[in-house]
Amino acid sequence: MALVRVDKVIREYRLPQKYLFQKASVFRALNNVSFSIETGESFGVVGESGCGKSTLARIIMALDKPTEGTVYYKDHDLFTIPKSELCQLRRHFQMVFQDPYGSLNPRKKVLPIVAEPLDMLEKQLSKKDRADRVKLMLSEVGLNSNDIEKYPHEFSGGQRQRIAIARALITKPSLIVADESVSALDVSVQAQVLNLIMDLQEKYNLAFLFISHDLSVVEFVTQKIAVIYLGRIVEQGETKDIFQQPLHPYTKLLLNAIPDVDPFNKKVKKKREKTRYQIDETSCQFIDRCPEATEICRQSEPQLKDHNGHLVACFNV
Amino acid sequence: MTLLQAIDLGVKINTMDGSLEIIDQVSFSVDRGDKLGIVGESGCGKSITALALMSLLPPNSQISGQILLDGENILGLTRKQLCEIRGNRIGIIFQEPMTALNPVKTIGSQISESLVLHANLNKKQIIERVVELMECVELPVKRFPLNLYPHQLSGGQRQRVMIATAIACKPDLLIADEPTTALDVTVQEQILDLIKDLVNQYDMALMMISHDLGVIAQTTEKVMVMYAGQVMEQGNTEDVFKQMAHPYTHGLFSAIPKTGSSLITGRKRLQSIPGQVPDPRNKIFGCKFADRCSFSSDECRKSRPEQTMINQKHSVWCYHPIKTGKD
Amino acid sequence: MFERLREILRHGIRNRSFVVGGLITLMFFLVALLSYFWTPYPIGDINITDKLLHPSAKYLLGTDHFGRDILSMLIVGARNSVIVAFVAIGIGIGIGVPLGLMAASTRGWIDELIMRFNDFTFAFPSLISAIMITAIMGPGAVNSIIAIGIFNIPVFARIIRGAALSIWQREFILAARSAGKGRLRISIEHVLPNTISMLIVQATIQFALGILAEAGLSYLGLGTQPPAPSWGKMLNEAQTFIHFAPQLAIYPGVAIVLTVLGLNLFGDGLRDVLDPKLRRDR
Repeated sequence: MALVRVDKVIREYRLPQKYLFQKASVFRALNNVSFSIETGESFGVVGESGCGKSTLARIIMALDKPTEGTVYYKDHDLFTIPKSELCQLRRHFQMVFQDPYGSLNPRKKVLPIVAEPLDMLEKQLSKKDRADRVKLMLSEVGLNSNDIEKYPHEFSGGQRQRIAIARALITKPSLIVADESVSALDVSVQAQVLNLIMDLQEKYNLAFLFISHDLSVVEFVTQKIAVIYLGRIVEQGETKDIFQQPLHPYTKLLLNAIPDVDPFNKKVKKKREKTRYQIDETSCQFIDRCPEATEICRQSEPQLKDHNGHLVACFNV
Repeated sequence: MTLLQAIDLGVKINTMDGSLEIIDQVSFSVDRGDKLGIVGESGCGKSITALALMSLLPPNSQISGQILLDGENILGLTRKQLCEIRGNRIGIIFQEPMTALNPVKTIGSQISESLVLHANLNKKQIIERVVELMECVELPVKRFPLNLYPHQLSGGQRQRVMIATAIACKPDLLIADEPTTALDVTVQEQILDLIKDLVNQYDMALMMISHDLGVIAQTTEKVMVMYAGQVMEQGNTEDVFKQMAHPYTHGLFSAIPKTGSSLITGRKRLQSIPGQVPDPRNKIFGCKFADRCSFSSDECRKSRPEQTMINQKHSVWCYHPIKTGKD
Repeated sequence: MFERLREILRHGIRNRSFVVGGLITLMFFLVALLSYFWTPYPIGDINITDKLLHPSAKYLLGTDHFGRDILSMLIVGARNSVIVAFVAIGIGIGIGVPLGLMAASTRGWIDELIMRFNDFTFAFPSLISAIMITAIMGPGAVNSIIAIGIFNIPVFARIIRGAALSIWQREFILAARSAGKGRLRISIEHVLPNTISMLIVQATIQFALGILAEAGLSYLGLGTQPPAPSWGKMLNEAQTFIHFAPQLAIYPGVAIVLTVLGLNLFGDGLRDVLDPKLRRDR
């Protein structure tokens, strides 16, 4: 049984109406997203801004409710179980956020920050046990146990991210959702934190949902990925398959756009052709940017098809 | 022909904790049509260098050294003379298009600001020029009328507006301070291509500031690697990237995940640089990278290394430069 | 906590408004405190023979039309002003802050309800309404506290709601929710401590307004009742003597102006000291 299963999740938002009696239009941030994560597996989600990946992260963490569809943790449906049961299940999945400056309460010391998940999920711990657990976690992430008395502003961005990771690990979860957790860090610090994440994954057999717009990082850290465009998964499969042989035109576009670190390999600017097709409600949503679009793409939205374990939503594959 | 020359540039900022050294002994030159990159992480002083060139440093700062624009030291100029240079001879593109554009002014009025100040054109001519600029940055006026506001545009479109603003008066030097950091990778590609085209078209010198080695590799011909306000390595981009003489440059390169990493089997690790960027409040003598450097010795902590020439264009500031190239 | 106070003082000393305002405010509070232990003369003492004397060694600021020592009256008047203004903002904070926090955490119809109540209260001109309330309920310090306090509630509710709304968007709140904490606990543990600075600054402003309001009500005879002295009452009584003993009006007038000015300066300075520091936490 998969550790986490996202089942046909749709998340709609009602847009404000332009006129008083006009019907409010609806914006679909996530459109029929399904995938599963196995125990100990590192799963990446890539996409550009506005594609819905942060919304997905919140829904998986049960911090936001999907309009349709649901998320299963093992065999528990997170959105139908009673609230108290959900609260207890939270010990199994925790999140590390993007902003190392905003994800820690500036008014609290490190001890209560890292111990916070214990307040609700392991209420029976004595004060001393709590402090011991926090110190243990801090040393796991490479910080000093004396740091429990300090405030967040006394640490650098990378160190704060370590504190956030310590907080996420304290209840010994099985899944960690990392939403752009290294995007705001310097390159050298990013490397330290990525190494830490991979060490922890190996040590505790943690599953990771790694959300990022940085493809090189995702390629390095994950075993499986899903590529999201405008709320839909357009390609999904093993990381090495997708990076070596991307099938969906959007994935190809993304991979081509990464600037090459080799100055001898200066990319020649390709002539960007004006695509002939317009998007409408029935067509493939990528049609206006797709260099491989054809007539058939105007007719309907392609569904994910299996090409040997490699799922692609495109008519032209 | 040398357009801009910075000689021993230093910036100190006065705070309650004393006078903090932000950049120290930074020297470089930019010829007409050159493409210089400044690469470094946060706290390395690259943005401060750019602001220093525009004389836009905060009031509590002290600047030392010289900045020669066509031979003239612009650090001694009056405010009026500096205003003549800003926007007119040096243009700058900032990182965050949303905060760098005034949200309550139309894009047309913002692009025309420097034209109104510096160019001797009447209203009709200014509008024509603004339309021309919008076409240059691939924002056709039919779809993007001049009376649009920044919030009606996407991040990439706003950045294009900012580029149009920066090149309006055909400056000799265009400074781009992390112009694509806040943008998606596909938009980044378009914006970088645009900048390269415009720089060639208008024969402008380009100063590209970024922490992204890929961006630097693709857009520059010369590069300067900075760390904690000091220059560590300098030279042609190809030379520096091929033979990373400074341990920091080497470390920076090793720390980024490369394409093709998914094919590596077994345990993967990135070679990270231990520690973090020093706090400017802690006065460090000698090489500022010494504490994090695996090659450092006592000598490194005593005094700052002198410039060592590796070839005519390539220099490094290190007592233990790496002889062979990257592995 | 104390390191923070020391840091605030360290920054505050460099800020002119903070220092000047702080000193005046401190003086005001010390005088009010002093009144419990000692006044040059007991207030009740009516000494008609000594009426309307000029300042002298015996009576430092002179005497009023009843022969009472003006200085003593000012000192005790300070105490009454402090008590009224203090309890009034206590009511404002005690009810307004929870309302604001509740509105920000629940949104939906509770938020609407609280905001409409706020709008409703704001629609009434506060001082006139306070007059009306005390006129109906009867004059006196307690009723004036209630009247002024009621109008402090929407001020604090609105300001806390605004601050809380933006705090709810921050990531450490999401982290607390991921830890399983509910809205109430998050409001108290996370949101409230992050609004304290704004609360303190607003409290100093409301305190100054409270003093003015109390003076106004006492002037009209609706506030602190005699024989308890009050600056407003002193102003009122001084009216008839304005032509030949203007000092009777000047002393309490200056006391009011100085105190309110001091509080406003302190509030401004405090805001400058607290705000950029919040940004320094990065």
